[in-house]
Amino acid sequence: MGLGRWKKEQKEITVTFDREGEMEVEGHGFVGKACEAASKFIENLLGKTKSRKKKTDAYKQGVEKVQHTQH
Amino acid sequence: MSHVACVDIEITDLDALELACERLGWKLTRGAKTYEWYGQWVNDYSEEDAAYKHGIKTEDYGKCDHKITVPGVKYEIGLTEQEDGSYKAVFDFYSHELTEAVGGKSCPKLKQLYGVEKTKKECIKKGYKVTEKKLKDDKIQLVINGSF
Repeated sequence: MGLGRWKKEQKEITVTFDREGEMEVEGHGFVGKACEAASKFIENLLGKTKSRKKKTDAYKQGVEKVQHTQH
Repeated sequence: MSHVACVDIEITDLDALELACERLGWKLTRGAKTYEWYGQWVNDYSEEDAAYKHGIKTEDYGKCDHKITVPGVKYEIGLTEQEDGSYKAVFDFYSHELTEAVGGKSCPKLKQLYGVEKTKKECIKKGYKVTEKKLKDDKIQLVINGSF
């Protein structure tokens, strides 16, 4: 397997906290609902999910955005 | 004035909270039973975030299980344990110096860094590699890699 292909298949989750403390979770390199399953434990760490945004086109490529508000 | 408000944050991990406080230069005192505030309830604050609207009786204002102190500021943040084991953070925001020090009534600095430390801790516990990055607009990003 070439390095380029390995990089393409690498899975990664980014969690971004803005200055108000709001959290956004993004999965990269996942296919289908695997992203949702992988990031679920992060979603539950700081409270219940208030809103969830999923871009259909991005989701097909394995990218999912989830916004959270801490309670 | 007795403007005791409840911060919109669910605290379940005192160790992560302590790390967040250390990053801010604040001090978490575990086991503290009282925190500094106006000292008496004079029925002068009843907005939606008023502590008594979040299950904390007005006669219990000033009482806590742990507290957070910001250096150079008299008033403090009280942490009161809930039935489910989590903590509510409350403070008398009529103290402008405390409210300014914590970044506003919603205590955003603590929310942000508690979130960062809690997420880092749990991800590392699961064996994931976590890298922290500072982004523009004071955002903090965690990049998490591992066998998901």
